[in-house]
Amino acid sequence: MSNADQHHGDEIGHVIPIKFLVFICGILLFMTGVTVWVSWFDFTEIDMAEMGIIVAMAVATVKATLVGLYFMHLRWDRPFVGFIFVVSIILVLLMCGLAFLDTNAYQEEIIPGDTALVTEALDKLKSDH
Amino acid sequence: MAESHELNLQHHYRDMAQQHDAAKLGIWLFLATEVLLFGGLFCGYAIFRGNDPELFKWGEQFLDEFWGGLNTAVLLISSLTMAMAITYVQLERKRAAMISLTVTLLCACGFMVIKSIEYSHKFHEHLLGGLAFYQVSDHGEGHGEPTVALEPGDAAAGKKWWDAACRSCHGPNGEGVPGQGTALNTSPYVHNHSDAELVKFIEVGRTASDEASITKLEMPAKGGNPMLKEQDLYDVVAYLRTLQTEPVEVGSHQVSEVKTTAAPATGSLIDDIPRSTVPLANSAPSGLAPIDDTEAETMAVFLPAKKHEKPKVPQLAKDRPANAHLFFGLYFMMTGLHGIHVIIGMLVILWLMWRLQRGDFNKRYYAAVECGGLYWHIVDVIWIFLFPLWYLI
Ligand code: HEC
Repeated sequence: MSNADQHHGDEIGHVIPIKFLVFICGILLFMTGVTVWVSWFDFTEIDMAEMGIIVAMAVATVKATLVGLYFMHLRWDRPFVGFIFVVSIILVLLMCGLAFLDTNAYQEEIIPGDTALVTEALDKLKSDH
Repeated sequence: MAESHELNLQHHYRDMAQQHDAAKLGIWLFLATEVLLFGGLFCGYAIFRGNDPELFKWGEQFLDEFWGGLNTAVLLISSLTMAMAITYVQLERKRAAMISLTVTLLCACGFMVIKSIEYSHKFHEHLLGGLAFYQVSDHGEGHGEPTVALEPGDAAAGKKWWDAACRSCHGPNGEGVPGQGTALNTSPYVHNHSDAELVKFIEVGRTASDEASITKLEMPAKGGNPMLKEQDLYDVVAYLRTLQTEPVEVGSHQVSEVKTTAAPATGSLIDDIPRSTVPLANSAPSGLAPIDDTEAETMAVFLPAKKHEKPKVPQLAKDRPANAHLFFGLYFMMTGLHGIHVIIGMLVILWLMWRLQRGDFNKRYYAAVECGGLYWHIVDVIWIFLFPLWYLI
């Protein structure tokens, strides 16, 4: 809905009632609590080590969506504004995807020689010779 | 109607609504670049976490989820009050809008206070990211000058450092590694200088361009290892003494009294320090092991001349995982950049309060508040992701 239709007299933009904002914030705080609570579970016990990450990221995404839609007025803005935002996120995902292609070829340690691992590797190299 | 008295309408806009939309479009484009900016860091996080999950499991213990959670709540509430401020400005309730902005600002301050509590903890424990991670330094009590009388070196402790910091260039028994470092067991320089002088020398090293340089190779300061403290260097020298055999003159070009321009042996303080009690006579085998070529080779391959072995012993815990500095580097980069955004946001809020006080805004002209608010919300959104990524999982 564009700002041009002015059903509230001559003001510009959508006015969000305070109560609604407080309600959204309540949901957000509640979800924060949930993420913290979930992080106390030990998912490795049930062979779902990734579960913690998935839940945390899913909740964070929902929270971010709520902030975007209601606090940032995307719900009532021109779709084009939301489009810009979504495109930027897609670009980030694209970048991550491309960067991920060769990560298995990364050097194990960033600064060689930092730790015992390298000493071990050296010793191994030596004994292999 | 309204158009006639629109003082704030810039002439290139058709009406106030268009002007408002243009401002919002502009700020959203900026927010998109912010997403890209942080996106790069999140991408780095994903890659390094994917490659080394254990590292992040380990690092998480240094981050207190209580503070992180509190900060999340504080930011969420500040986002709420920011959104409220916009509603109040739209309703032209100036006082309520002012109170909302003030609360937002206070929350931002709270966030930064909590952040600085967390940071100062980590600074204190030397968990600063990147290179500084290696600097155990003397807690800022002057540079280089020892504040306590140093014990004579402990050769056993020195061996540890030798293996970590010197061995790659000077060989396991100080016999040198071709192309990396000179023999020290037979070095007249080592023979002719006191422990204190050698420590002074090692502290500074000798650059390849130094006129005193024998090999035109670089002897890095502290063997390239800023973590070594003065006492450690005494230990290393003590160990070095155990490796020594008779000095040999390796040709006329090797001056025994090398002018150490970089390290003048003017130790007034350090000369008083008792010499090492470790006897000069070596405990190393007299028939020196020949330089192991394969070893030298692998060393050379594995550790190119300029990359020096870092100490094996971390300052935190013996079992500090590889790449621990990477964890903290990323942590400080991401939360620090976010913190900078919070500070900028605070300035923006202050500016908005000033303009609100001045009576700039009305229900048809409040794009500045809305744009400032959008910026503030994106800062919140980023934290919504940072919090679980760093503190929880
Ligand atoms: C990057 C390789 C490298 C590392 C690591 C290194 N050195 Fe050296 N060191 C050299 C080179 C090369 C020289 C010879 C410099 C020259 O040509 O004058 C040298 C020279 C020296 C000398 C002077 C010897 C002489 O005859 O002039 C001493 C003493 C010495 N190193 C001690 C150490 C100690 C102790 C450590 C460990 C803390 C260490 N070095 C680590 C490369 C290294």
